[in-house]
Amino acid sequence: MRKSEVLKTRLIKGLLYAGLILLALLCIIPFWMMLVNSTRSGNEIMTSFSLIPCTSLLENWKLVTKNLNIFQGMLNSLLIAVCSTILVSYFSALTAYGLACFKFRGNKLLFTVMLVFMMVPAQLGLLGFYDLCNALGLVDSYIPLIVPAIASPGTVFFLRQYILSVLPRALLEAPRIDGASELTIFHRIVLPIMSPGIATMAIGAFIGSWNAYLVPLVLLNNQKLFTLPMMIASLNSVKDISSNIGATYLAVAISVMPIIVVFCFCSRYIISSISAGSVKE
Amino acid sequence: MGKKNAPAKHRGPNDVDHYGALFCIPFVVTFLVFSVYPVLRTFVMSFTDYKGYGKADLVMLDNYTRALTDPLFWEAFVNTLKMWGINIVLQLGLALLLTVLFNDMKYRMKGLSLFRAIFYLPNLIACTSVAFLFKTLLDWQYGSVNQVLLKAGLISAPINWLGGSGATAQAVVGVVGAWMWFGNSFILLMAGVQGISRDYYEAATIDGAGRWKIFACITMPLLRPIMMYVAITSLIGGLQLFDIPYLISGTKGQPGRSLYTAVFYLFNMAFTNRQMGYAAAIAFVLFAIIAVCSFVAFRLMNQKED
Repeated sequence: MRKSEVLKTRLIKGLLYAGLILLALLCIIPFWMMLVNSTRSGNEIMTSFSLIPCTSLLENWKLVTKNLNIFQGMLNSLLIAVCSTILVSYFSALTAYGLACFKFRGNKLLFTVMLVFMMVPAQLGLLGFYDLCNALGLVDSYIPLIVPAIASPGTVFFLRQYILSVLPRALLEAPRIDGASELTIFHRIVLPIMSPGIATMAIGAFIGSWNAYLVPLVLLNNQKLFTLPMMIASLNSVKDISSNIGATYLAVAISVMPIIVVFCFCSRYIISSISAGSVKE
Repeated sequence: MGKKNAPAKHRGPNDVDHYGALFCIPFVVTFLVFSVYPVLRTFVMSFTDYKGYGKADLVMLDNYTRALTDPLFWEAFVNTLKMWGINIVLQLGLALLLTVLFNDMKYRMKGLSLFRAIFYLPNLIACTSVAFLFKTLLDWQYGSVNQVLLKAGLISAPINWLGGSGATAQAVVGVVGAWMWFGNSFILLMAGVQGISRDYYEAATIDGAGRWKIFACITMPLLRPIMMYVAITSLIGGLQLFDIPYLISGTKGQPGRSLYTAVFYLFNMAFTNRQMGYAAAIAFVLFAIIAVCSFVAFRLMNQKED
């Protein structure tokens, strides 16, 4: 390569990195502003702007914890999200495997119905769902927020495509000849191979459940059962907090922090599992 | 289901195919109870004047005629489309650009895991928190964004992001949506690219294929299923836009009715006005629109397969 060409490549590369860093900053700065502002008093925030933390954190903290049962909401959300993520991961993988690797009667029908339901917006059934839960006495219960995760057509569809592209059929033959049960083959061979795909979908499922607002809003009336997003959404109605912007920022920050902390630890696992074996970095 | 077409992988008497059906049973049962039944129930509801309790009278197609001629509903629908349009163009465009960039054989960009983690960050945050955060940051008088822009001299008077013109507020919602979800699309696209064997790229590079050739002949065709997945789920999600406009506008759809979305309208009809039957009809009208769009998208993107 000629020298000028090397220089040009380097220059372009530098510009590309600059663009990436700018984009990364855009993703981080709102959170940074949130953290900074949650350490400042309402007055300070209204009159000036700062990227350096101040001293009103304790004051804001007292205001938030006195008026909002935010940690209860956090526990509630965690319970729902963890349970539904486990269900969605395991059963979607199982169903996807069944659909992708076995030719049974009704396979195509089931797949078609699933595809159709993938295009069904969640709130198409919302009113019927609400009515069903009402009739079954499941209002103010977590069951309707957790159990339906077993049937997630979108996840099954993704994992089915995934199996078709990553699972060599020959792998299934040897254990079958050795007499391993089909469920064992699924647990020991198929699941590990699928794990990058499952991880991708599990992240999505966890966040989907954690972020869910509409369905819990419709189904939960008891304040003790409120999920974290519902508590944040009700901030407006808590006078003592909404009248102080610093406290509002702090409440939002508290709702955001655990998931950022978890992500800091899990992102490595998430990213390495997604890119396992294919990206050489 | 011709047996002739079945691959010869399961020979002899140890036919294992019925296990596939067994594996699908938990899914099917849950699916019937919590997905299929509610939709059918909603469908039945849409032909009645059900109020959420008590008896309902059959009103046949009244709810549908009302929905199709309801200017408020269509206004809300167009609002939804505008916000989604801004969102999806930014979101998918950015995700695809990043995917191509990180797969470029010439520049070999480093730091993929770090950038991917950072880009994914906004996606982790509950919509309600994001809505509150931006509502506060974009506050006309006290918001940090206006303070920064004023200080930097980029604007001479504070911009009324969420209380001024409807178009501005809609654009804000669209951009916030893209900000939240582009990292997710990026991860899905990257996962798709990583399913593509590295050998293809290396072989193509050795054979002297240019960047665009590689993109057009290897990346795009092999990414097609994932792209389809991302695009269709985004459309379905986009037309269901609810929480961010609902919360950013303080549950009222202001300024004007510009942040009033279709699902927002449905929600108010069902749970505030207690017109369950009419709300159910709205849900089905929305569904019909989504179904047509998805079908067209599906056909377009699937043309060359099968």
